[in-house]
Amino acid sequence: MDTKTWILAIVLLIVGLLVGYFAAGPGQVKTVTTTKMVEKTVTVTKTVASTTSQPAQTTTAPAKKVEVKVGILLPLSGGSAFSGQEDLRGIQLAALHINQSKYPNIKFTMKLVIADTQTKQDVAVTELRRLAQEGVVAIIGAYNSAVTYPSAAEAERIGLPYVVPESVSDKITAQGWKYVFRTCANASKYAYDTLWAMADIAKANGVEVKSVALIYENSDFGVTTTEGLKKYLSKFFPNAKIVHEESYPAEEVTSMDDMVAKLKAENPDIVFHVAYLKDAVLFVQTMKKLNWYPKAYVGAGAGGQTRVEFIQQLGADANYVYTQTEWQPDFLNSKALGKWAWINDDFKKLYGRDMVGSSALNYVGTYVLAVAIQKALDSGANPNDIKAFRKAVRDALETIKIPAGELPLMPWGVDLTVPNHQNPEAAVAMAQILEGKFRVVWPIEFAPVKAVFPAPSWGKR
Amino acid sequence: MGLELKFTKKLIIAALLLIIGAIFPLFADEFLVSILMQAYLWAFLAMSWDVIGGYGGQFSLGHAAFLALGAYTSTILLQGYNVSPWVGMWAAGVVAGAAGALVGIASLRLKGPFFALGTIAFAELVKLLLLYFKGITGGPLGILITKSGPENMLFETQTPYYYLMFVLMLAGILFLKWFESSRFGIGLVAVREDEEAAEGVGINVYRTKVIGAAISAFLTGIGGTIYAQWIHFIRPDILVKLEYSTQIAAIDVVGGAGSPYGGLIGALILVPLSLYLNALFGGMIAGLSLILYGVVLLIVVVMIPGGIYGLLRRRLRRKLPDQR
Repeated sequence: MDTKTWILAIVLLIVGLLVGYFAAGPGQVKTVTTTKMVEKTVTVTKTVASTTSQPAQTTTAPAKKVEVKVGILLPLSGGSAFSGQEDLRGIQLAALHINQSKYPNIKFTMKLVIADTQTKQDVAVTELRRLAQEGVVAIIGAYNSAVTYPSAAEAERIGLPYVVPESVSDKITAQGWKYVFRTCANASKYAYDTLWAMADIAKANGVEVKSVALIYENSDFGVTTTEGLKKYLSKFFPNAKIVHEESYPAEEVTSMDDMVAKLKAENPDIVFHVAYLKDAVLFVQTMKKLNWYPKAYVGAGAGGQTRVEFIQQLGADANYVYTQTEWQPDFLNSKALGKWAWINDDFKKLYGRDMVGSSALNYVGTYVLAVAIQKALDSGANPNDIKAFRKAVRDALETIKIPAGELPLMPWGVDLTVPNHQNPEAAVAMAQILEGKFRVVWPIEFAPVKAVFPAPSWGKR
Repeated sequence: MGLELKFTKKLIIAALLLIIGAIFPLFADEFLVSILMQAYLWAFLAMSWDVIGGYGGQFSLGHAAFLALGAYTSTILLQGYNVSPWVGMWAAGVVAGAAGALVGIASLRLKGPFFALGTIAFAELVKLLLLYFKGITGGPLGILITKSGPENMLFETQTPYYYLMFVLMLAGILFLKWFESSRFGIGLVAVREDEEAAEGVGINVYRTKVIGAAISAFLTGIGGTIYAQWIHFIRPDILVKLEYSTQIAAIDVVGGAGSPYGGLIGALILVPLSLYLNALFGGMIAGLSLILYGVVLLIVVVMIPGGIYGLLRRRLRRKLPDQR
């Protein structure tokens, strides 16, 4: 190989690296820049936002605020990047609000150190080590349960508090780990709440449910949720029989005609479907094609049916579909949660649309961690002694108890004093798509509207 | 005289590197240790790949499947039957090796890209089978290692894992050193260079290639056990990834395929590089690290076909022509 090609190659490489470097900015510094950018945008509208419900905050921050670093571990590239990026938006907004003193009791500055797991276990574990070395006091992450698990195990080894705001696998909080805390519901709770909600709704409408069908995609998500549904079915529907059960590969499925034809023959009262977006859309389209609809078609596990794209792709055919949902802007129309509307308003100003489940859950997880860090600071722990401070944050997390209504955005509270650190109060709401919008119909006390049950047949719509 | 000097020199260099590697965790911080540790593991996997990919000249793009088979075998034995992975890793090797032979039997009779295609297809098959046999494999939920203790190859801190992978890497190099001068190893290289000629001197080409694939998969299976013991949690979708298969191959190709040191050199360069790039860009422009990683790979593969080890050796030989 001659010298010219060599030089060319090296020059190309250097140019590539430089372009990348300047486009991205180095490691952690870039995070602050984003936060500042975000801050500017929000400050413009701050006067409007703060007069509504939140006590107006002065723009002058207290002179010397302690800065605390928090590590963020999310899949920002690869297959789960879409969700990871949304999670990050929630976390960044929460950090911004904390840094703007929107929560008067939280008096420190949160600096985020962001890392990409690429949805790989080994990468996540390494990045966790790096974050630990950069002096973060706690970790928030990591969306995919299979990645959260090994990285949380590593955090436990190091003695680094780890807050899980969104990964649902039951295993994560089943290990008796001292440093791992989950603010959201686990997979079993999703199943439990699906049945609870539908039992409540059926009862309120005076309908007896005699038969159900379970349809699910065959990955971890579908299988765990369905196992939970089977486990708790008799508790909520003692007289109901499972007349059909079928799973399918979500990535590959192209036709559901056979499945829906079988269902049509069995005609169950409720179909519980654990699905991602594409397969959920296909299922509803196939039901229309075969002109059949159960009394209730329920998306369990807050999967594809809870996405805005579900309504966009199905149009009016999406109406009457029930879907579990972690969060909907409709919550803010309820009396109890209306006071948190300013958070979603800020989100809208930044991203031009409402928050969704992922961003809201991560916002809440970040908030809970911030409350704990503040508690640790109040207890006199020194943030410069990083090891001792992490322990203090862990101890503080273990005392966190926030009643429903005081926790931003969510219709539930947080209680991390339980031995396994799995928040027992986290619940998953049920929404129904009515007139092309997600309307929260359960828990009934947080629901602005009443559910339509049973759903009208295709001909009568 | 010259040869002897070279040998002593080599010995000294090897001993120095060995000592540095062995005492590294004593003075380096944990993050560096964790990166080096992973580099050793990937180096071992790349060396395993090298048996069929480098010495055998048969490109495999499905080694993640053998990795997964090894990881699953020892983990099922550990969780279900209380068999320590110190024993289970050999079973893992055997299962993966048998699978390697199977793929070889099915696709090595043909010349051309069929082995590469066969291994890709096989990896998909393994993923589906792991998902299907829920009763044994846990299906999509995977298996969690809940045992503990060094007798089960599970440690509370990172340092033991470092030494485990260090020894594994050394064992890999020693194996390849022995392998390349063994009768079978020479036969495999002969098959790679010229099948007709190899057949002419009485080598059973097909059988040689199949056994090569089996050995390669056997070693990868053992690597799989170590991976599972380190990560504690295995799941088909996260383990059987084409990305992992290509990474194993890429490390070896960059380092220098068909040599005992290629895997280590490749891993020492590519593993820290990919982790460093991810740390640098992952937080902001996610995915950029992968692009840059790809660029580096491309440059190396196109410009240095023999890998970095090959380049070094050529340079050395040019400098010391009289010592040959």
